[in-house]
Amino acid sequence: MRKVLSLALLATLLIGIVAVAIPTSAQLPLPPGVPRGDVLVIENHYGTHADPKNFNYLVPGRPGFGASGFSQVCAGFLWYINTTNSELINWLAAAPPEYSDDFKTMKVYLRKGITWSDGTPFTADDVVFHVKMIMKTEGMNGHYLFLRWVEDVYKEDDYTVVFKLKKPNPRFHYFLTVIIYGAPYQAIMPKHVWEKVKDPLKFKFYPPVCLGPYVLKNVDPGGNWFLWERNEDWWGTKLYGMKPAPKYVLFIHHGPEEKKALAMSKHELDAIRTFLPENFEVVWKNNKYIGGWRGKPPFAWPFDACVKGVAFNVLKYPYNITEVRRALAFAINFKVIFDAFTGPDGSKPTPSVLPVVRHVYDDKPHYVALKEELLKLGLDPNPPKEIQEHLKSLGLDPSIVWWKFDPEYSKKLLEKVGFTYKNGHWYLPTGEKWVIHITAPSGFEMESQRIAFLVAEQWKKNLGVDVVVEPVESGTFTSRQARGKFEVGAFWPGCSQLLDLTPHIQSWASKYFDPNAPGIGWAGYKFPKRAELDKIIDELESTPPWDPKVRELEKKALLIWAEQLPWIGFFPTPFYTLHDKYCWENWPEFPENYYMDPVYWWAQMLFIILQLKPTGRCPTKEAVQPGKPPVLPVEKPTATPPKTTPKTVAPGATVTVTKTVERTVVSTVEKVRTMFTTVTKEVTSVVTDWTTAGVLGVVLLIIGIAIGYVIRRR
Amino acid sequence: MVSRALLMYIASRAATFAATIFLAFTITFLLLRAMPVSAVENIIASMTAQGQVYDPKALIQLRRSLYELFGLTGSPVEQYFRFLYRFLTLDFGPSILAFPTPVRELIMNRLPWTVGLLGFSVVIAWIIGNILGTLAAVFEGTKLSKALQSIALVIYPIPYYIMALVLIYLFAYLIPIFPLTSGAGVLTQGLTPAAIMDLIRRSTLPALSIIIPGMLGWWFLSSRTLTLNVLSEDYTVYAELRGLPRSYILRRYVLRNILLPQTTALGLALGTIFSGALLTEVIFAYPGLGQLMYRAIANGDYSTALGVLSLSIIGVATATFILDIIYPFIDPRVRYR
Amino acid sequence: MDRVYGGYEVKTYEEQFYVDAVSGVTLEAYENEVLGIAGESGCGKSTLLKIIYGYVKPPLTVRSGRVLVDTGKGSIDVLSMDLEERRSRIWWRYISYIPQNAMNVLNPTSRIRDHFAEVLRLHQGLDREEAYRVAAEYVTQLGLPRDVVNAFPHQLSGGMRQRVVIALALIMKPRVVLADEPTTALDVVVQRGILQTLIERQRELRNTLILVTHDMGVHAMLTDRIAIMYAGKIVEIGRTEEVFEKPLHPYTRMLIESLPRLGDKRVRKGLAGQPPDLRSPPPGCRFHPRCPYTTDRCRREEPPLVEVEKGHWVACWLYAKK
Repeated sequence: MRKVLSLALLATLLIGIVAVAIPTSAQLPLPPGVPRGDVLVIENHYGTHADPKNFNYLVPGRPGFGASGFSQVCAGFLWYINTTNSELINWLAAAPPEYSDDFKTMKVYLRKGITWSDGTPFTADDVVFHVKMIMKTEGMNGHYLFLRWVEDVYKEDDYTVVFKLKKPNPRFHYFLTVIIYGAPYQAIMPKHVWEKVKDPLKFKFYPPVCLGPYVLKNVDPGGNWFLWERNEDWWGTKLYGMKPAPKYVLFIHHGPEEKKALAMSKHELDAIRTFLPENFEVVWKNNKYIGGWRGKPPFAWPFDACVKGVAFNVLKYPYNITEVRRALAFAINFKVIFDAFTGPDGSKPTPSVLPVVRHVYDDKPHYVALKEELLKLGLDPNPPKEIQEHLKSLGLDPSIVWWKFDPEYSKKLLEKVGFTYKNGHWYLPTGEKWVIHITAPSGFEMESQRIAFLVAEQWKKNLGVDVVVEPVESGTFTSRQARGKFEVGAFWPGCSQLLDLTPHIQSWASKYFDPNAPGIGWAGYKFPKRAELDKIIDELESTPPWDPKVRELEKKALLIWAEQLPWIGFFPTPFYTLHDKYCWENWPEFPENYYMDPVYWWAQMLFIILQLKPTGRCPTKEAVQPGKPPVLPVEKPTATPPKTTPKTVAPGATVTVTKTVERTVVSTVEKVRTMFTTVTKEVTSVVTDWTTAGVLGVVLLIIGIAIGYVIRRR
Repeated sequence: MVSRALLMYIASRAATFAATIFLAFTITFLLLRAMPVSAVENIIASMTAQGQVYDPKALIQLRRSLYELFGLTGSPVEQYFRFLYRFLTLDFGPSILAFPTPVRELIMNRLPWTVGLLGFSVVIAWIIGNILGTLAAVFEGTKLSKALQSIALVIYPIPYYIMALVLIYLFAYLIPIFPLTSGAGVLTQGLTPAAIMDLIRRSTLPALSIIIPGMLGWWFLSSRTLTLNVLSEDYTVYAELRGLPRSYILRRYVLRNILLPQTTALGLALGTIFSGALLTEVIFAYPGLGQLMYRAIANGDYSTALGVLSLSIIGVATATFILDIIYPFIDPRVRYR
Repeated sequence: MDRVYGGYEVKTYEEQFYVDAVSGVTLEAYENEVLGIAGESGCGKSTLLKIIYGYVKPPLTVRSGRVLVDTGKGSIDVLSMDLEERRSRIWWRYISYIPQNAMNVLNPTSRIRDHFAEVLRLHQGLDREEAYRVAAEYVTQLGLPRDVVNAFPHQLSGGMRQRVVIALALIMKPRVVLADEPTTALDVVVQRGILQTLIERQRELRNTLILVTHDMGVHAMLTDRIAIMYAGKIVEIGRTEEVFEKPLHPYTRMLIESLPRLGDKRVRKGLAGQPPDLRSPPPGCRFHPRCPYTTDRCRREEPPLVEVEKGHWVACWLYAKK
């Protein structure tokens, strides 16, 4: 017996020693011999992919293509929006879209010299094939979209694509622009690969052929990580001198948040999407090199795309009564909610009383411009000092915060429409007891669940009304929202990113109401100004985004919304989008280096990856200094002017482009920016035709790049 | 040996087996259908979740077409028979989670991971647990036995999540012997010795997290009790009286008699490994069937959920059936003449 | 046996006590005889047997005394050896044991032939096939059907199993066989058969059979000499016929008188009272609380075992006048 025991012990010891002594293939799943400093490690926020060796994201229901890294480092998009200033970045497209007068034709000029990762040139054939394939294949991502809008798509020459639209749409190009996150159908697919495929839905597109700076090196068969390797033959390097510093990019899912926190504390994770405050504190304590939206605390990114709050089912009694909704809004003490989301590092949320995220560029046109009307509707004239300070620090108008806290007024409103309060309970005008049921998410979007509970508490405390919060699983949550099976829900219908609000608010029109999927019902809600709202949206849809009339229309729509208050929005919840500056630096940080938002899981992450630098602290072999910054010139063919001569509006578009170019280059320094703004203003008056505009643009670009370079040197 | 009685026995057991599977399938189907989750709504919601710009009318059409594409149309009765057919042919059609990759492919991807990890861990835990339990009973009263018992009583009630996190914290963070991420490394692709070692290294922590509570928990306690019982049985005393040596008694009398119920339990435990180990997979980011099933259910992917559950049903039913059949061969008391 | 004091040490969380099961027992058993040990349940007979055998495991302990066994080459004190020695040197070779409840002592997962093989391989070093053959031979000699050896215990009847156990005990031809209640829980017909077997074997092998039972009828039928035990003490020993016809000790008398006799239709008189609690046995003669002839002396002093007639010993103040 003793012999057996001691043998067993010896065996265990031996195994233990062998296990420890095995040559470490590093803690991260890297090829042998790759040092840490050559790899950029980003979080795969989806989790475990069920079918990881499938890079066909055009199939419905595929997990986010920003989770595997596909959208960030492999995909090619025509345009991006720079989230810091809502301006268009021309990427595969060499210039902004060119519309005909009647907005039924859109022309796209492609950049010359772009190649796929297997060497095949990228041409208009690819774009035409891509759109046609989607239009032919039912169920594909974007299928119904293109069918609805595109009459025909063809190439004019190898680098020019023409879209003929079924109805005029000055915003058609948004469908091909990465605004928030990006959509799979926006990533152009290679014709030479897909034309041979019999059933595009079954095709796995593995390994993917890329337009981005990386190619796929390795995939975890279990679906947790994706390893990308730098493409040394990338067109960006050959044509524009861009070269990303990390030799490898690894998108990896570590497990539950605790493990991610451990990984980041050990410098094994460079960028994450968000942490719960508890795990954020763990990382903050253990890792001195983290940064977030700012380089020093408060770290949280305050401009997530959606304003969180609670939404009413406006088709359901009694929430179809405007006074009820308004009463409930005034019964909430905003400061309490605001404080509840103040993070341990002092991160504060950005109050957004309108369904428009209060970006810096949204403040003047959408908030300040409506201040007087909002005050009449019940905006708090004396907001708390603390919040005012916070708004000032972001560069926003501090006098506009949120609705006033006036429960007495709420009670009066309720009584006006027939509600009664007896024996500690509220009763509906019909006589029944009034119990509010709030549907909240469970197991995901925990911030919204918190909001639900906070709001419930406020209503109970300040009004004395009975509230029940129902947390439900994600599947049930989305079902209920879509089918309108709820009374009040912690949903977030107010999302925005663009300065141009039309794509974000057009769903308010009744023509878009689907009785099978009513959602919160706002589009189907009948109220006195319904016809007016519908008309405003119709007009918005046919007015191009660069027309200043758009602002006026937007204001009117927002005002109607504020009068009706179909949902109560507080703020986008702060996202602890942390990055680790131990191995890599030059992350975007507000306000000193604010060239992009820290959206590592959106396609715009590409612009960050292209500008990161190795710090030298981590052992490297093949990491390099980054190449030129990702600022591409506008390249419109100067030869034959198009048949339909564009009106003067178009050069205006060109000028906008020039401004964009300047801004993305020079956004780091205030002074230079203003200097260039003045320059471009002068340029506007001078330009009358294409050639001059083009030449001027190129000249300004070169100057801009030169200055940018100089600044970077310093 | 093969008598009519034996054949009758096997036949009756086989009938039970078939009935069990059928009943389990029906219940599973009903449960899945009763879930208030819609795969289509989930997909649409995830597309629009972050405020991306989508054409509202196009969404309406997409919703309708998705229902058809995923085969979610038809009355419940129609669907029942459709799924029953799929179940019997073991072809669960395309999954929704990873449309249109067939469910079978998704499962086969994960199956070796799950079976490998769980099969190995369960068996090891069983072996070690039984050895320790038997030892603790045989040396009852000694310090060793008392120590083992105390350790077991302390470790057994620890919630799995905590145990796993503690292991990770100790051996992947404080003393980084093992990597934080489990599952496959880059090397694990292929069958070279380096790949195998890499795989072992990456799978050790999840395996340990299952083995430790197993060997010090249920298997230990049950084998200890069983052994104590056997040791006090008349026939064991008689064996002692006859002068048979300790080790012989342990082998022939104790082990023989406790292995019967323990093997049954092991068989059943092995049958259940097909449902994966959800917590293990989530915490260690280890690929497996548990997470697949969880995601399938959470996303309303009936086909995949049914696929994994079917595997589980078949696994348990088969294990029971096999045990039923071979038990008479092991335990002479249960034989039919 | 020589002045053996043994008993059970029981320790619980609340108390600790000693059950004085075998108190100062001195016995002799001769070759080629059947010695019976009789007494009520709980008087210590089984314990005595265990001590003779040497199967002394906690909570049973022997406080003092010797058990000498004549091996033919001299006598050895069983109690002076440790369990291991007893196991390897004495058990089954010189003494064997037929335990109480013998029907359940066979391993349900082993065949009968394996039971034999175990013992044969261990003590005689035979290999398995040989052992099987020997076992088969042996059981037929004993009058059992041959294919008993291939059966599992649960396939045999109670009586058959009992016979197997007896066969097992005798296979190595030990000099002393200890049988503890071999016929309890059997019906009379089978009982008779078993007893027949026992007696035949004993005559054949000419060894010592020590038979423990509370059934006086069995003693009457089988035993040459009989020892009466009460409350851990031997109160009377003698030739069976003598003890039955002329019981000396009051307890023995009552035992004998309670036996039914042919033709005697009188109501049998039982014995009143209960045996004493051996945790704290009464002082003096342990029988005095129930004895109709109690004297003062009985209450104070323990009577020694004295030879009243040749070969007939008794422990009672009625006789031990010296």
